[in-house]
Amino acid sequence: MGGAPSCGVSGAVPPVIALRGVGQRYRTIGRAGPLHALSDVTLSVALGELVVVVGPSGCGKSTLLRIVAGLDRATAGTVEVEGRMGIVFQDPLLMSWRTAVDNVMLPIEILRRDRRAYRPRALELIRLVGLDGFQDRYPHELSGGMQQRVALARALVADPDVLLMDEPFAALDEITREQMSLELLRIWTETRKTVLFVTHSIAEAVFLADRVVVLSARPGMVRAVITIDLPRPRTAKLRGVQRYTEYCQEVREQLGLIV
Amino acid sequence: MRRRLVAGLVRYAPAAALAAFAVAAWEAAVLVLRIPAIIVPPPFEVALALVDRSVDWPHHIAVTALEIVAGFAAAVVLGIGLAVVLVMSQFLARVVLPWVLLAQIVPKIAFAPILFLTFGYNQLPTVIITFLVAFFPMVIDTAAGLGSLDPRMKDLLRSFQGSRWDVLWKAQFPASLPFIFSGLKVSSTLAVVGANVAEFVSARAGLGFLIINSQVTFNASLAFAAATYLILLGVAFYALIVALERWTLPWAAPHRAA
Repeated sequence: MGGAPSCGVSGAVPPVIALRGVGQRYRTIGRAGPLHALSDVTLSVALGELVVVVGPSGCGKSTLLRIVAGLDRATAGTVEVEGRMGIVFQDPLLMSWRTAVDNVMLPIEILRRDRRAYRPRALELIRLVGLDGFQDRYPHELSGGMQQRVALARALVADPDVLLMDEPFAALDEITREQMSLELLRIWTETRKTVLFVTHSIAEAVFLADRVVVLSARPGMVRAVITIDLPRPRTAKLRGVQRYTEYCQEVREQLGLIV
Repeated sequence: MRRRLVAGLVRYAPAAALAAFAVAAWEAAVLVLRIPAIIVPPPFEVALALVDRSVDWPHHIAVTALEIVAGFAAAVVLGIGLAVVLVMSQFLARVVLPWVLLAQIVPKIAFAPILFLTFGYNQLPTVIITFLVAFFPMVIDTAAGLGSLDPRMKDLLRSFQGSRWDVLWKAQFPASLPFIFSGLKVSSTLAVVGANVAEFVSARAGLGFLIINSQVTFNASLAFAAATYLILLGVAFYALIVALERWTLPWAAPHRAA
């Protein structure tokens, strides 16, 4: 693949995330040899773009996101990210001893910013994620979907340039999940963040994405990059549209599900 | 408020009734079986000893309470401090942990006579024994609590550019509070035992001193009265910690049993 912008970034918008030839091997104990998690992944995400990485379980897509987040170091290739990142993991990872709004405020405290100045913003984000009135509840008083909304508000509070999402809705039931997809698109439209989203749900990937990056099974390699040319704003009706189902089929083909 | 009071009365009424029955049975048994008061004093005589003006109760209670509080406070501060060190530095953990474990296995009370020889016949040896007895559960429970944090929470804080200290103070420490409180409960009861037994050895004052002294003077009701005050001290201490826990950990309320 080399260094060429093989992912077809639209126009002249500079990439906010640029991965070139990224590979990851884990040393393992025993005779099995190193675990090859990722191989030669080249991928870029443009400003304001919503890119979804989809792949089978264990293809290294979460590892890819951890590398972008700086939590793991790639063993090969280069990673460039412009600006600050906010992350949402599969589990909300809320602090049980903090109320919703205090959980949202956590990054502000860590970044040593003025708490009083950011509190109105935290409350506004709680409203944005649809939790108005729940700001003083503790996590155990919130449902799984609501907890994940708090996690999303927390990821947004320090006004990051990039939002990284690691299967954020995978632990939710399907109804909540579809609801959260819609909410994410609404929030994305309002905040215009650059989003890198990882999932193993084909439907979720096509519904959300500007572009879908299909990874192969381990070691994860970029199988295909599919530009999803569906109109926005997207609503639940889209799921019944033929073009949408065709895109889903195309992703399935690239994943090797349709022979 | 009134409803809570009534609910509390209803809840603890059976336990109170059991206590009243036990005291009545005790009194009756002593009377009917004609047990001499130097062997088992009837509750009424114990009650009289509790308010006996010839015994300087405030002084003895204060001496023992101070020893308990001092030894316990040292155990809490140094115990939590050592646990933080153990969790933060694997190297220091390797150096220190075997000795902490060894110190726990050593019967600390065996050193009480030596401590009195070394530090003199004052309150210090008792405070040291109290500290030694209460220290270990504080270290172990706090270390377990600090280690209980979901490792993914560390990732989350690191993704916000959090330092190791941020992880410690913003995440590990609050996550360990329920563990610390269970350590406090165990330590506080052990501290009462530690102070009392250390006083048995060579103290000049205190409730334990009164108990061991009453053995020589065949004053069983005095021993029972001193033990009663010791129980009250222990209960007050424990209740204080439970109250502090409820105040500090409101989020843990639904998970707590009674």
